[in-house]
Amino acid sequence: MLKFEGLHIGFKGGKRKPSRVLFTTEDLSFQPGDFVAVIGPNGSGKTTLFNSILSEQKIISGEIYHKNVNWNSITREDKVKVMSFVPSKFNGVDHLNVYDLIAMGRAPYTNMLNQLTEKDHAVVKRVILQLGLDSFVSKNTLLLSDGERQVAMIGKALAQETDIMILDEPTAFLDYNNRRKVLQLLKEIATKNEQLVFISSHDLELCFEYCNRVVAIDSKNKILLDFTAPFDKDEVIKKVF
Amino acid sequence: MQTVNKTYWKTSSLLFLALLLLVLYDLTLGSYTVSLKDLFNGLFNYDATSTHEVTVRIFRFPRVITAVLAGAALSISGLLMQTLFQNPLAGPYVLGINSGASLLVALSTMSSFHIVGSDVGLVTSAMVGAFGAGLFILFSSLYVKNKVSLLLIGIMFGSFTGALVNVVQAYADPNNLKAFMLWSFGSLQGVEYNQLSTLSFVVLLGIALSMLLVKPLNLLLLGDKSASLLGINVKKVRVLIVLATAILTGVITAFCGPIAFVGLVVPNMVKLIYKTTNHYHLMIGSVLGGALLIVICDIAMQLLMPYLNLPLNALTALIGAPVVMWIIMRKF
Repeated sequence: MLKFEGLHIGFKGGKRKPSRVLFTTEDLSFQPGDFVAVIGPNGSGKTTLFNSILSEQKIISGEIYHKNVNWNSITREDKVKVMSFVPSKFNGVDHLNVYDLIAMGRAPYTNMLNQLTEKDHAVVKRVILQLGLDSFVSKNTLLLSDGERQVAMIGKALAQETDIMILDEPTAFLDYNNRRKVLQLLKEIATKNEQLVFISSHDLELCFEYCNRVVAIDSKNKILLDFTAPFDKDEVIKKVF
Repeated sequence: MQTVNKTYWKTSSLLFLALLLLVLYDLTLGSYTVSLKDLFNGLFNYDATSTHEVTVRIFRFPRVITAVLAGAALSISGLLMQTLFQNPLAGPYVLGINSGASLLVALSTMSSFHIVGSDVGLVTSAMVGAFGAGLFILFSSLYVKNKVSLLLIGIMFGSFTGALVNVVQAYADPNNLKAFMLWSFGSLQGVEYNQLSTLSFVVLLGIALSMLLVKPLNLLLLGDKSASLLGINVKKVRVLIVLATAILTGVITAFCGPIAFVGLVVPNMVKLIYKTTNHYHLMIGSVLGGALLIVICDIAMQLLMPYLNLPLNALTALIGAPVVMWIIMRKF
């Protein structure tokens, strides 16, 4: 569903500044249902890779294809119906409740006044049921625990109904129990909803346990390595760290 | 969620009703009280030979309508700034946007530097000044991430333009200087009957532009990146927000002088009452709440008139400053 062709990921230079390549990729393709962890040392380019896929920054060279359509030829309005993003930390907003937060995921489909249709409400309610957030719907996002808030943010991304979901270090600010809960949830989303889920993480053990695919940034050789389950943990760690 | 929407409309209707009653009451006030009958005749069945009706139509109607428009415009500006900078203490006055407008108004009234020498010229120069100040603050916000620092930059910018205004004043003709000083106290009396249509048109334009920004404003609460990844063109939206603020603040500053605190206080009150982040309702609330606040200020000024001549700016500061202190204690 999502294909990388000879990507050079890094910072594109200008007239006087040369481009700085963090790593390159071979031709990789990802299928619906894949739960992919992007791992690598700090500063190796995990966030840069995500920003490149999200079109928040330019790719130095190479192409991304979504269902055989060149990513560059898709407008931003259409891209946000295909990919959703969850930041590693959201602090909550006063007076914003969980229902309205999840409903924000419908924004790419709503009119200028952001009014929700019956269909939008139905999607939001379905997401709430799937995530078991029934008892939280009218709770202020400022007052949720970090774990609850992260699940609510995943709900926002689910309500966006995209093929691809990208989460930047979703477990970074959570305790051990919540880490497991969130990863289990994401695994279910990938397999049941047939979505392609990307996460970046430093919890290698948990990634090996829950994900069916790990792409690792080898910053010495400046290349993205692709591993599929079952993983040989020692081999991955030796190559990357 | 449908029931919640109903409560918002109920609150808005109550505010509207209160506003309507106070507007009618305010229209009867002045140097002498006018009966309700003369009031209705003056507005709907005008007879130019009746002194009472002339008073209502020529003096009081513009004053009260100006109060409503000024409150609505400044409150919406404040709401826009608070969401744009994610800062409950942001407002057109604190961020120096009024000051930008004041500087260009000072230049066009007291020096030989004119854009166009009429109402339209004055309004245009105020808007240009407000837009320039807005862009400056927007640009600063890209470098200054700390909320308090950004407010300090706004205050410094205000002092800087204030100093420039002083320089202009030092060289001004005494008559122009006096007019400028009276303007700077803030007044609702300066708008004449035939200027009302210009003022209303510009304010409605600004409110319409703000209404078109409801969706981006709602999403900006999640942060720039999340908003952008929900399909919002953040750069474009930021400039449009500053433009709407400049139109609203500029026109009110040109006609009524720099009015402090309204833009800061009203949106905070509205958020407390409505308990929502949906800007569709927050804007309706701000329009009604802002209008209500200035109409109440005007009523207070009219009632105090025989004993005490209180400038509008003094009154809004008396109400506003304690509210600001309260917000600081609660949120910072």
